[in-house]
Amino acid sequence: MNRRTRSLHRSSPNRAEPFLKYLKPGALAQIRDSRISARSHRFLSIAQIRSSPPSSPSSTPGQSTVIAMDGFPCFSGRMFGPRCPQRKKLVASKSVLFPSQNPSSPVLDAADPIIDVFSSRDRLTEFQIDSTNTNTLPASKVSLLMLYTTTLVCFAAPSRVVLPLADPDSINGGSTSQIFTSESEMVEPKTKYDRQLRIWGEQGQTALEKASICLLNCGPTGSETLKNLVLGGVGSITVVDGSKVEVGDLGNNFMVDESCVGQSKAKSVCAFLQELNDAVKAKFIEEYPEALIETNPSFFSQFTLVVATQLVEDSMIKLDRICREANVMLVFARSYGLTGLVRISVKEHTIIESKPDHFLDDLRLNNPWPELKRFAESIDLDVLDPVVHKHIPYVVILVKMALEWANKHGGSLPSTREEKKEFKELLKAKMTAADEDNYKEAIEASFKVFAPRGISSDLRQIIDDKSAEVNINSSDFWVMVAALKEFIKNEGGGEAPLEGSIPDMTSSTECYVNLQNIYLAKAEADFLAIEQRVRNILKKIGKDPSSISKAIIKSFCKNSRKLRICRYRLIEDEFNSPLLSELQKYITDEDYSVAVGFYILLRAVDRFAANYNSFPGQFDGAMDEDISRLKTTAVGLLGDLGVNGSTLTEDLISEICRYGAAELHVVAAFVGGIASQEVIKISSGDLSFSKAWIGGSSQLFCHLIWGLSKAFLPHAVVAGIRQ
Amino acid sequence: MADTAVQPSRSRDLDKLLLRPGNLVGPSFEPGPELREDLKEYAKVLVVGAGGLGCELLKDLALSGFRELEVIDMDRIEVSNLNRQFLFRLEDVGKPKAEVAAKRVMERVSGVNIVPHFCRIEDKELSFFSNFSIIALGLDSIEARSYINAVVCGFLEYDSDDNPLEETVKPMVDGGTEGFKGHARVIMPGLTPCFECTIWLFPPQVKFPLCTLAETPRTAAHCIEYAHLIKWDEVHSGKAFDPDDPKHMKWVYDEAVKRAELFGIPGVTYSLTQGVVKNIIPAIASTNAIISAACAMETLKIASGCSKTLSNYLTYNGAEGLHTKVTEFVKDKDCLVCGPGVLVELDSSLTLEKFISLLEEHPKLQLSKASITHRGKNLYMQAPPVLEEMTRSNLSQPLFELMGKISKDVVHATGTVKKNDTKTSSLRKLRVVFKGVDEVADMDTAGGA
Repeated sequence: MNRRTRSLHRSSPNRAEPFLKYLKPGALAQIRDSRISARSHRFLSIAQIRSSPPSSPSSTPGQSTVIAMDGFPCFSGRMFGPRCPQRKKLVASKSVLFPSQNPSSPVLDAADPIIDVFSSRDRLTEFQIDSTNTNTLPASKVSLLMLYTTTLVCFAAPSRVVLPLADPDSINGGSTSQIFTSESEMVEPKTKYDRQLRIWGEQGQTALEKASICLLNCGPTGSETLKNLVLGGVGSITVVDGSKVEVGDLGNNFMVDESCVGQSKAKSVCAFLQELNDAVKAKFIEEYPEALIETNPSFFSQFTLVVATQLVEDSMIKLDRICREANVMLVFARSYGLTGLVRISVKEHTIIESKPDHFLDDLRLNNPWPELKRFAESIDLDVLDPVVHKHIPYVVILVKMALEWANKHGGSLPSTREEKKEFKELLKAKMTAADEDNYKEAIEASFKVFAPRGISSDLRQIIDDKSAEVNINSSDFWVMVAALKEFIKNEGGGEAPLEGSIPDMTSSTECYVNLQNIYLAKAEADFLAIEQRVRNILKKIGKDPSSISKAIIKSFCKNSRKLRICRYRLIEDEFNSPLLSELQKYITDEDYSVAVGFYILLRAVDRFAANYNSFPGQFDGAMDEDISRLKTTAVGLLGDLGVNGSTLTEDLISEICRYGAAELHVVAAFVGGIASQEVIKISSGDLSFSKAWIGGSSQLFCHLIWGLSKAFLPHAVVAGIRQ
Repeated sequence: MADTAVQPSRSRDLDKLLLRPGNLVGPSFEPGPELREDLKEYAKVLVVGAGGLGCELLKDLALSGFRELEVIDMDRIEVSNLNRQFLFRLEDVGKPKAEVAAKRVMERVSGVNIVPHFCRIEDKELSFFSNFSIIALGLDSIEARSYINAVVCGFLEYDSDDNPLEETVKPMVDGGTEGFKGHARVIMPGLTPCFECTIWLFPPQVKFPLCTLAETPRTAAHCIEYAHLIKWDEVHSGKAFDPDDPKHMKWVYDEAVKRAELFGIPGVTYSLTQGVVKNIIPAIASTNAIISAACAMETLKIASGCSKTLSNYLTYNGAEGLHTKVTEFVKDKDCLVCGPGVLVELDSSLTLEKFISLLEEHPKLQLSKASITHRGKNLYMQAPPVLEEMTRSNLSQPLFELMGKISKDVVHATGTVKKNDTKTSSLRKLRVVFKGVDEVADMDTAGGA
């Protein structure tokens, strides 16, 4: 332990004294209370507060800035005043909303348990499993142990019934489950999911609730991944793990406790997960994933997504092939000492609502359509009434000024630095008073006039993609891209459909609302044109013309400038034919060498394990030997990859050996957190309306636990993704 | 897997990290079973907040070798917590978060002792905070962070060369999330920037000008804020608006709808009304898990030295692809909260009036017309006249007496500084030391530990 911590501890009784002398207990609380109440009246009293020094007994060593903020305008740079969110309330809401029983409330799919029994039985026969002797059957690598006895059906129980595993009463569907059912029915899922619905909306939530997820291995990495998904309300989970809970698992996995030791890990973890959210259908299969991969590849096709944790290279490659063929999304996650990885493998992930953080709004100031032009022309910039003058929205100002400029400059807009400067000067000259916010906004937004017309190169790439040549097998996304391509060429005049929304800006209400309607009308017209084209294309390729809903087409139009496509390489391709030049470049780059080093070493440890039947450093006592063996293995791997002349540092090699394949809880929580977030993004993606895209992450090395700034592997190294 | 027979241990995985030497470790790392035991026995960690981050932090720390944990939170469990605060169940709604969280983690991780505190952080005496080796923050408000930061920086002492005394540095680990984004940081007061040094990292909050709300509303939020900030007071004179009262919220929503209809503005929904009025920050389980794990990892690294600590600010952004960045911020040496302040050595007979004039002459300060406060007490205020009159009598008294006859302490002075003919007001932290007065016995013993 750190000396500081120890000494601190020892001296803390003494240390308390000097602290006390600084501040009377509760003094800070008083100050803060007064500040809180002051802030809530801020609107009215700010002027008074600023004009006088603090009037309350205040300054204390720790709180000086706090005082400054309320009392001294000179600290404006650090004032928290107006930008502080209100401190949370002191007492929580007195009562929880339990609306009266509402049978028609949006309920999560409630499957009949009996049907589940049958379906699992079906699977049993498919796997040829001996389900009669589950307790004594050795969990050997090949035998498939599935505990789908009646007792365990409770995991596949109807959505909102919690049936504690160990409680035989509840299995009978007696009073216990009845109580649970009625109680949970009273809580609106909307309330429970409020904080996430604000991110991905109800459509995103629906998509999540449709996801059927299979977890391979439920150590802490897998358990933590599922925990986050179950909390969010994913549709169903199936936990696959053949091992029994050991004492060592208690130290890194929160989902198992002492009572689980010796029992099936899959069962124990599943029971805990079910407790977190009874709307999720939770099942488990006591089986080693490697065995499933080898003997029953078709097993995976029943899921929408597989999360594979702690698999070694050989199994990863095989599983990847299986899932790619069955069109099942796949996310690998692995924690290894203080490092780890998350790798997505999906053939293609198309995103409509990418919701990028910074994206230029679609105002067409540089290319106004006739209605917008006409509206701008109807407004007199030189109006005499100063109140009207300062409430002309900047959109109108810029459209008019840009038209004026274009008239004088042969139809072109400002493009050189001097021209842009001149344009801004013209805007400034139009101001009649210094406090005209609308003109300030116009000057700030003038770059929107200078932006090039037409579509971005990103969008160009998408409409020129081969997949945009559609046929009967094309997805809805690509059908709409085909329609978009035609639109841009024809009625769009080189532009994508208008988004239709405008940002808030200084304006009179009337003018703003009018402007809003003009944008909306144009967006609606563009949508109708695209819709027509979509229907025609569907008909042409032999699909039902009404198979894509209006709502989806509308969302597609609104987001057409922000479409995204992610495609991932097969793991096998990544492993066998790496992008050598990138690998070579980054392995010697000071910033990235550690990340790339770990990338290589995580593959080397799997080779090591294949050769020596254990991971380097897994057992005490053979450390030196393991270090030199791992070094040889890594050098061999680099040679096979074709990376010559670069080596990995001794420090990194010993570090990996020190980890000894440990699965630390915090690292697992970190890696599992990322994996679950990626799962949410890809499963609510595609044609759904959610914030969902993976952007750049094909393979991540999460040893940012190291505090390095370049802790993640550059995507180019694996090049799993092309947009 | 050969010798699992050795002896089954809960710390199977953690032992690899704590018991084995390494080359890429922190400077104070002393691997061995003793380290593991010390971590259990001596490392006391306070988790501030038992919400989305706090629940995760408690679990993560309990599974990272820490045994002595305490948690403080003033809130009760709400239904909308359940999508991420995994220690809580539906039947817990209405119970104190700290108590339920502590109980759940203790139930599952045997040997861990978690003391819950269901109260405001301000209700605790300062000695409470001084008892911990490390403080981990899982908060959602700037004020609460500021408060803890101020308390912890208050423990910090400097030597005569303005170097922080290492034993008085109490490490803090701070996490925060919003939607798909988050940050984790390590604060070593006096050594790395404190919360106030980098307060500008927090973006300004959107506030609408009152005239917009009253005269030219354009968005749904304008209509809601009109109902909330203007109309409510007009109608319910004197009655405070309670955002947790569904009736109040419904009233605001209805008014906002009316106003929106009047102006032809679309988009007012009940959900948006709640979001705007309560300033709701979207939150999801995965981001909380990621940020908490990073914070817990740093806590373990600070306590054990098992790896190098984050230096010093990590941002995570999963909104568009996945990006992380570590930035090494630098300390503001003039920070009023964590900085050393200006050391002033004084004679114990010096009067307050003389002291004030001395500040004007002081080459580093040149502070004129200073008002002086000490431990929250106004010693002398230049304005307003009422306060000036009330404190005027102190001017003739010795500062030493006014400060309660302590050999050294911090006072704050506010006054104006003249620079290039422009006057700016300035607040300064002063470390006052009285010459020839005996030091309090334990003040300087800390260095020996």
